[in-house]
Amino acid sequence: MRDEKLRLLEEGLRHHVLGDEETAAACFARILELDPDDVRARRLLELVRRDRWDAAELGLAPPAPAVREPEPAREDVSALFRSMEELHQLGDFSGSLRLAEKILELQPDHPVAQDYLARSRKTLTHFYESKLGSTQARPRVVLRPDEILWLNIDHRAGFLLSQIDGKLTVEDLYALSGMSRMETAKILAELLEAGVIEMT
Amino acid sequence: MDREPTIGIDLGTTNSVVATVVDGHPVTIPSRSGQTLTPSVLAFSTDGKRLVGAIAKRQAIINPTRTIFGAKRLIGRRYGSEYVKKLQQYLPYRLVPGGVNEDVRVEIDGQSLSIPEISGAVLRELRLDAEAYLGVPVRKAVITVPAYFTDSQRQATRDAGIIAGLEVLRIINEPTAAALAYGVGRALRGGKVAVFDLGGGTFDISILDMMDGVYEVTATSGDTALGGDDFDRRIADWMVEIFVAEHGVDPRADKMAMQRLRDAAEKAKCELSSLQETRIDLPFLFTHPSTGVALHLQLSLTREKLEDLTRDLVERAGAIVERALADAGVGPEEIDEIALVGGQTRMPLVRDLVRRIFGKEPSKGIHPDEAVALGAALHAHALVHRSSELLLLDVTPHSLGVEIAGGWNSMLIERNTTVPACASHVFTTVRDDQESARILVLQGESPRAAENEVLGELVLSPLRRARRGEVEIEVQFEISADGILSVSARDRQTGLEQSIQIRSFGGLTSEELQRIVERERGTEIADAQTERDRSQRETVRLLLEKGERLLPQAREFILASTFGTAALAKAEACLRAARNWHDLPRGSPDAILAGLQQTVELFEALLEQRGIRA
Repeated sequence: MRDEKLRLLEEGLRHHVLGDEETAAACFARILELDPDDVRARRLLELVRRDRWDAAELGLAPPAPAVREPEPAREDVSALFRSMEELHQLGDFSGSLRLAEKILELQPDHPVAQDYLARSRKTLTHFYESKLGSTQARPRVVLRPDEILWLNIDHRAGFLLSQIDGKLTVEDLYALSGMSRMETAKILAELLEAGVIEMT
Repeated sequence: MDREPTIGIDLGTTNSVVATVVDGHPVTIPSRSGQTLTPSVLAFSTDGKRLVGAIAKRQAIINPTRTIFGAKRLIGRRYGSEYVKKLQQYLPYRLVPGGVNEDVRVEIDGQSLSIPEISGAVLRELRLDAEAYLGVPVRKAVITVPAYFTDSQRQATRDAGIIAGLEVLRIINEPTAAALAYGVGRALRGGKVAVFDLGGGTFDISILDMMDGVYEVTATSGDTALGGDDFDRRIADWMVEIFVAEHGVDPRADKMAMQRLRDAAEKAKCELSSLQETRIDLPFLFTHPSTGVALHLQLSLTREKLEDLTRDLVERAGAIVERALADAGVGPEEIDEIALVGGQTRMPLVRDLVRRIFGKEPSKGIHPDEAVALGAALHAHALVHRSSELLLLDVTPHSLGVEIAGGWNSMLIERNTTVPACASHVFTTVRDDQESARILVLQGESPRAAENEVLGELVLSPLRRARRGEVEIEVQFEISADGILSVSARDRQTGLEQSIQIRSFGGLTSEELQRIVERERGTEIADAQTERDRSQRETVRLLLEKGERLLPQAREFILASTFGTAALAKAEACLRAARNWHDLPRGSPDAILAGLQQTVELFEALLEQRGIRA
């Protein structure tokens, strides 16, 4: 049962970090079914439910008075840390990166998490850049304006797409995007993969 | 092409243009990315990369604290001036005092940048564009400034040119340059010309007298806070209103959205100079904070609507023109030609205004964006090639005088006086047995000495002992064609004389300027090396990709041929060395490139023999 609880805990944390609060809540609820006395699972369940409420009320509720955040429990960080290492070993650098960010939210000066964060970012940047080819390549939009409207992208990708004119290089886009190199490369790689742009 | 290339530069508040003379004709030089206009913007990306021109402008709103625009508004100004204090409220970047004169500087990441350095970066970009276009090094340049620029502002502009690696032949007035461009090849041989200059950030109206190829600015006026950017802002605000009405959220909170709105506004405005209606499509402009859905903005803007949105701005320019004509004592009917300068004058409503005020059509044949640079190029060419066909007479933009008893300003040379100029006046002592006379040289229009800028001072001493009013001191002002002011004071009885030469101070000391020039030269060499490295790396990458792609088939053929394994091993070693160098570049790639080229050529030849296209 201990292994199953641990698996559910890590899975729940991973979903929580990825923003899938519903699945995360289901994982923590399942732990409580197995062990109703698991205090950590109960606290995490409350946390994800609170986050869900916060997200739903975003922009509607008046600003809440500043409340001192409870100190992060050592075991929460430990669990996140284990998942981060595991994901990194499995080659899931995006997941590892998100968990490193989560740890650093809780403990901003966590040296190992900082190291994982930097390494994951570097690896992911290389990964996305390898998909793009040369940083001197000039992306060009392939789709027609009316086709672009049917894409499922966010405003950051929309911004980047609006800057692509067939003249600017990938390196230029890094400079003007206002996002990190990794984020820019990721969006460009996704747009390339989706056939929205091509490299010339 | 001419033996020694010269260029003319219109260093604008919003955009700059560079031009040259080819086979006797002035032509604008496109940037290396193909644009005629280079935004006068310098930025530092989050990773510290220096961005100049179009690319800097394209990220200006999303990176506001590290993007410097409108440096021309700050050049040659003191940090403590009221103008700078007021301007700081509207600038997203931080201004700080610097240098011996506390001139205004910009601080980014704790590093202080002088304004000539910022403008110098733009000028350097234009010089590099000119060198790429002409294929030879370019040094000699004429740079234009507004007619109302003070000596300090002119000197600071000259310093910017030096920082950019230019030899600044002359600083000339923008309306003069524009008139020069309009006058070439046309029958504009005499009379009065109005230069109506509505650029990106400022509006200037100048009246020039032209006589047999001689140009003289007789009056100038304007509004430093009126330009094409205001028109763009109006359109962007209107777009925001529509977006809010449609989606219930305000996109202004997002910098990326604002950047796109401003870019789209400018594009739509330009299109409406020739079209009656234009589409604005901004897909995925803003993500709704509650629903997470990316929202679009799609609408049409008609010329009529644009005119409704901006009519008051155009009328503001009209009022300034009417006031300037009245101040100059010139009726609109006396104006023979109207030269339009600045991209905003392409707007039909602006042209209607010009027709309404002057009762005639503005001159045609010159692109308003390019007129100033073309005129500057002609002037630079004339200076270097000693052409007698063109003679420019500039004027003093401000009055020059000395402080007299009671704290008053006695003007010796009135503003708008044609240079070179000379004037003298006799002053007397104001006290009995006065031992010395202090001559404080002033620049400005105020009758009160304290309200003018002090250019320098000289002291005439010892004076002969006499009752007040008996010692006569003749003060003489002389301004050279380059704008250098010499002031002398002479006791008319004794012949005792003192003189000074006042060179304008642009804010940078000569040591500072030298240091910056050397640093910039170092940066340019390093940039060129980086570009060479990048280009070589790219060549290696392309060849490597090809070599690795051809290798499996080539291996098959080589092993079956008389080349044998030695040739294959050599080729593979070349590819390995190239791969290693590409992944971790160390040392010169020359040998690697040569080996790689041989390998790829070998593979191609081999495959071609087998009828396979590489």
